[in-house]
Amino acid sequence: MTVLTDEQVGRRAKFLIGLTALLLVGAIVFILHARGAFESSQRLTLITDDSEGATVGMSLTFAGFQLGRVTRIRLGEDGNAHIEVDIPQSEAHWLKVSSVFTLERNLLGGTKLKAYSGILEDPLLPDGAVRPLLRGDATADIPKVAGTARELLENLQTLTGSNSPLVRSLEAIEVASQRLASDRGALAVLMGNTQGADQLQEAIGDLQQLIAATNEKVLGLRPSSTNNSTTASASIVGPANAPTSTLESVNKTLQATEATLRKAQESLTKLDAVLDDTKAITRNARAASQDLELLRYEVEASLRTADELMRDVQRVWPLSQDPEKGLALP
Amino acid sequence: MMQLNWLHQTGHASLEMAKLFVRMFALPTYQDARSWPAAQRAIAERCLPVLPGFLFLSSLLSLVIIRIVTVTAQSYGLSEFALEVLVRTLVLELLPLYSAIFVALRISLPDRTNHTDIAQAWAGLLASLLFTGLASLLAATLAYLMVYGLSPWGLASYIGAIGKIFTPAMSFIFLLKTLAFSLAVALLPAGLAKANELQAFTRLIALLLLVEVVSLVGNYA
Repeated sequence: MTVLTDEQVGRRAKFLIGLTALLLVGAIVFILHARGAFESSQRLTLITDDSEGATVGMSLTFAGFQLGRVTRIRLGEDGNAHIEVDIPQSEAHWLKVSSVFTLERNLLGGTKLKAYSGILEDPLLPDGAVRPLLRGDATADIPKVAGTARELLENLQTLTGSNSPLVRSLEAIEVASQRLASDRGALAVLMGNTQGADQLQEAIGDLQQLIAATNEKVLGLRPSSTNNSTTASASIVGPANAPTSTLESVNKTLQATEATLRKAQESLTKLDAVLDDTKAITRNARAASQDLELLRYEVEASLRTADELMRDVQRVWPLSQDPEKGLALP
Repeated sequence: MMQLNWLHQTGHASLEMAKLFVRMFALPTYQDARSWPAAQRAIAERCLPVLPGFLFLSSLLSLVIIRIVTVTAQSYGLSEFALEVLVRTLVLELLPLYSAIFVALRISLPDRTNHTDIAQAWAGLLASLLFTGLASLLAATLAYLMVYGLSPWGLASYIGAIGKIFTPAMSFIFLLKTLAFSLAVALLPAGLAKANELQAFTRLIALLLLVEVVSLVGNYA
């Protein structure tokens, strides 16, 4: 090692000592500058009912840029938190009398204090202004969402339970469609039971027999054999020399039969109308069951969404009780 | 018996260190007239040669830690907190400790023959302060460059973040801690006159860690 002369030693030592002093003073000045000690600033007091998450030193940002810094948080006489913010004069022109201030809490990361100035033409915010602070809390909605989801699930359970009105209606529709598909068709649905439908069918059968018998008796017509018509008419009309009273009575009988036939026709027309109605009812029932299916799909989709949401909430929620559902590392 | 012996040794070492401290900061009239030129010589001859090596090692250490922290923060989508974490870990905690250990091992401890030399104590004190300052400046600059590159547009927010970290209490504790590290490094040789190499090293580490723990308690408790 070369021996330094006294002059060299003095110069180098002074350089090192000077550098150390410069670093120390420089660091102090820099920190004072970084904390805004050399800038004139104006005071803004924000009032909120809950200052949780706000800390001394946190920034007030405007459009993502830092405007000022919280210098003090105190509990005022009115029971509200008073957050005092120092804003350097150079940045203060972004704040207007109409500006809105919010305190936003996030699930992850710090709380944010933000300023919004909608109308930039408004007059500037005066020094020492007091403004309300609006709160937005991402976590505040979670219990509400969970509560609503649970309610929805309970409703759905009641709706789809084995004894619910919906299920009973569906069962009734199934019975009706089974009856529709049976031999007796819509009649079984209308009568409500098979005996009624059978009786109606018997009645129609009897009517047909009656018509056949009347035809045979009055007109001498035989639906199956036309070659014996003379004998038949002879048996109804009787011998040619029969008295007129017999003819009159036969006429009356004929008229009565005609009236009966007309009534029977009317009944049949009514039955036709009833059958048409039944058809319409069946169509409606089919449409309704299709709608029900659609509803079921929608309900299922909602359930799945709610389930996903619950799972998300479980995963994100910091106090999740299930260790397996902790934050997955990327 | 062992505890008593340890107590006796520690007491003796503390006394020697206190004596050296008093002599270092005594009024010039009570000091040896030759001590100032000797101190200058010690500073020039002992600090300057190790400075380049120190700066190289500390920037290497800083770069590694900066890289780890920024990459980890990015992978979690928390880049905005990376610079704050870096300033807190590197500038506030790691680099002062590293500088003190480096100065103790390269400047103060090696030459324990003249262990009560005021000149050497001054050299150790100054070197510790200077090295800590330089290493912190270097690390802060490197962290900015690693995060923002050569763009000057991150400077305002970076300065804002530093201002947010260095609250008055934090700055005061940081200053006190750096001074305590420097004094420990400067005075320790006086207390280790009779110790062998290993003992000297363990006591150095123990003393520095004690200061570090006290400062951590002050900052974060």
